[in-house]
Amino acid sequence: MTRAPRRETREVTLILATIVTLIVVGIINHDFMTLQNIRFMILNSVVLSLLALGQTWVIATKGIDLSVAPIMGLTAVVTGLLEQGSGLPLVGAIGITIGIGIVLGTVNGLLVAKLNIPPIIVTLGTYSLYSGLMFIYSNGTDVVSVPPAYATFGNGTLAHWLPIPIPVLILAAILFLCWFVLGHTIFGRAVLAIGNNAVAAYNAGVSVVATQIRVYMISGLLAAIAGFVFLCYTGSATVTTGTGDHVELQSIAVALIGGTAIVGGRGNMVGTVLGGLFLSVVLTALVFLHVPPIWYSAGEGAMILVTVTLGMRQNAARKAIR
Amino acid sequence: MQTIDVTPVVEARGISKRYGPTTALHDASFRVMPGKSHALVGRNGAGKSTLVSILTGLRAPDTGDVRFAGMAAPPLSDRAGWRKQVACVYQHATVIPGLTVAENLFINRQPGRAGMISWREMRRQARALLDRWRIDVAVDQTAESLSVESRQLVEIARALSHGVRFVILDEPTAQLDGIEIRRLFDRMRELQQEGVTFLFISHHLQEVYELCQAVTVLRDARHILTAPVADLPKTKLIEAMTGEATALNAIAASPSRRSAAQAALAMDDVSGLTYQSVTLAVSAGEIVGLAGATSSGRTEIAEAVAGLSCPASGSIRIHGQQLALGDVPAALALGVGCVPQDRHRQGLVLGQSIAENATMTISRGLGPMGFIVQSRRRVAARAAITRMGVVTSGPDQPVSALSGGNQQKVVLARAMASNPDILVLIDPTAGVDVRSKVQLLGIIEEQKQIGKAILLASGEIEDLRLCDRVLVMHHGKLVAEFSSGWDDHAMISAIEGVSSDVR
Ligand SMILES: Nc1ncnc2c1ncn2[C@@H]1O[C@H](COP(=O)(O)OP(=O)(O)OP(=O)(O)O)[C@@H](O)[C@H]1O
Ligand SMILES: [Mg+2]
Repeated sequence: MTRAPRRETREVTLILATIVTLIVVGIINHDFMTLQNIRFMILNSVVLSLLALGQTWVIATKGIDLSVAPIMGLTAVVTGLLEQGSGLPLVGAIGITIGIGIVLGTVNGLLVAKLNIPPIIVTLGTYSLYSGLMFIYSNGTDVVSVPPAYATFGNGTLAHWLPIPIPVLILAAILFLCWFVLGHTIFGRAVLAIGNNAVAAYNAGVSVVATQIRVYMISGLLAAIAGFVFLCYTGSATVTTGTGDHVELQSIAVALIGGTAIVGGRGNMVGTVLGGLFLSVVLTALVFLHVPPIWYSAGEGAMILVTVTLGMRQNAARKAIR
Repeated sequence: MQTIDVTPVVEARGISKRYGPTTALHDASFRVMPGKSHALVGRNGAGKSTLVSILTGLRAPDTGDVRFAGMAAPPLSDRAGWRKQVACVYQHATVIPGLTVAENLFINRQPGRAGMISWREMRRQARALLDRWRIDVAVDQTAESLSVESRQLVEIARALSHGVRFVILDEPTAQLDGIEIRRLFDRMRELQQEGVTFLFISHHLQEVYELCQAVTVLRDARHILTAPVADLPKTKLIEAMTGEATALNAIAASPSRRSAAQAALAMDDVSGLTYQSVTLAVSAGEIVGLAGATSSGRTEIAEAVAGLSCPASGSIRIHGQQLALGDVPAALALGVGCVPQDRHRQGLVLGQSIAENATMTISRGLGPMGFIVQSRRRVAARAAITRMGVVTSGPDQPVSALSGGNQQKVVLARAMASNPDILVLIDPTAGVDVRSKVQLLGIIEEQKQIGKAILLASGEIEDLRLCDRVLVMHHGKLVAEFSSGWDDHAMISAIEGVSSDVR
């Protein structure tokens, strides 16, 4: 069977870079490679990767979604506070998560596709709007604990013979879906076509409006799921969840590190998840290398710039050979 | 005529279209009969592309209507409806570069079940489709790696597979060389046998005579005539296009002004991806032509001089000074002006005005300390517009609103604005109408007279006639040199690589 063209070098590079970081930092600081810390890095990467998978869809159409951060935060705060107030069952919380994600994502999509406003403007606007909703809803109240069912969802495993945390299984399922839909369905190819050349895609009969709306909907949905997963595994949520860590920038960086082209037309779902893992490991490493906290933000930014630049060079080199 | 009772494939009636103050079409009517190749000709800005955009449903006319086979055209929003009636191959690609040929052919209707694509089935169908129309392109290739020729064929095949039997080609030959044009025409004749009707736009009138049975002339937004090609000798055709009976001056190289001193431009043993060991020199007051097929490397060599591409080895000297390779600002600083091949990607800032584009290289000279005095810029731009004969509503019109040929004139104006000593001209008259071409070639000739060194890379015999010497490239090597007064046949065989006249 023939597939869409593959680019394995990116994946291999990311895996190697992650392993090297783990080993080097592990040697410098023995606390780095403890089971507990590895677990933290993986769960943290699940959140990053979910956000970045959504971002990958959007960037593949030549768009961008800054509002993933408040969508993540809003979902975590709303579901957490509902639970604290009325003992919302897990299924209900999942339903609300999906609802919030789809609605807020679709709002972005409608503004971009129907009103033809540039994605960066739309999502900058809804960034403030959704963060505002979070403040109004929570009125400054923090979520400080979650019931056992939620905690199991965030940390536990499905069965004792399968010692993989549930969020990782969720991520794996979503990754498979994203990979499959992007590479093997008419919708997925339409996304790439729009990112490549929207006018040609339109002339070839691709429904640009419908495809764009769906892409932002997917991004919103995955951001909401990331928020709920975050709530469940950390047991807390505040009004700065998501926005405080600038996850919108992190998710964009992860997608680019993973081999998705900022100019659109190319998306690499597997690369995105590996990029999420890599970024999670590196961010944690900064802590274990005793980098003073006031340097975190600068270090993180520098690290993202370096990786994205290296990744772009790799692309350029490949172009030149062809 | 006995075709009178046959329903036309397409009929446009009373079409008018205005863009703000510009009338692009005024009450134009015409019809295309089935099984014919119908030419649409006219000067730059006459309204040809506008008519095409209306016939393909991309723009609504202000007045008038379009009918296909006697039936009213679908509403503008019904893209699928239009796609079944008519397809257009534009000069710029309408394929999706990152996807494979097979995907481009079946975009949005990939075979498979429940939205899931069957790659094997898609490739099989793509192969069958290309075989059916005898198009020799690999289905797994990405569209961006296709040559212009293959890309056009893929677009035609895609249209035919939608059931379209009326295909519009807007200047399809502008970027093809002689052999490719012959192949395209052969293919078009075959398709015509199978019942496909073509509307063919070109500024090369001999192609109209070679290929088409009927011709429609537009002039100043109006329909002037539609007639069988056989009834309309070339002089009459040009008269209809230009509205004047004066004959065009023949183009020929004037006596050389070449100074014996050091060469203004010297390339020494320059090699790159598509050319090897090129050594050539151009003196002040001389036009040197670079001829060759599209894949011969002629364009890339010219680009190397202007810094648009970076050769792997060798040296380029301007007035004896070493040029930093692959560095456009360095080339500009040494006095190299350039008309690049792809005016959209390399030549123009489409959203900006004619004035801004034409004066971009000299903005420093338009005012003190980085300020631009708008009135000075307009004066400079107006001079360029008159000189080049740009058809426009004024210097403030954005370049994107100019017709293709008029955009080309702006690119040439900009290359000359800074008064560079060396001019590198790549296909400088692409998309320019017959009369404007004579005018532009005259301007290039003037530049030679005032002592510029000119390197002219072109696929057009007409352009090359202006040259004092023509160097012919084949597969990346210089293979022959002709001095002015050469014989067309010898030149064409050298370009196509069947000559023994090796340098
Ligand atoms: N988008 C636009 N806005 C304003 N004016 C336009 C626009 N598009 C075309 N025009 C004007 O309409 C006229 C007709 O242009 P058109 O592109 O149809 O010419 P053409 O016959 O195709 O010329 P060419 O041979 O140079 O391609 C020109 O005067 C042009 O400036
Ligand atoms: Mg045109």
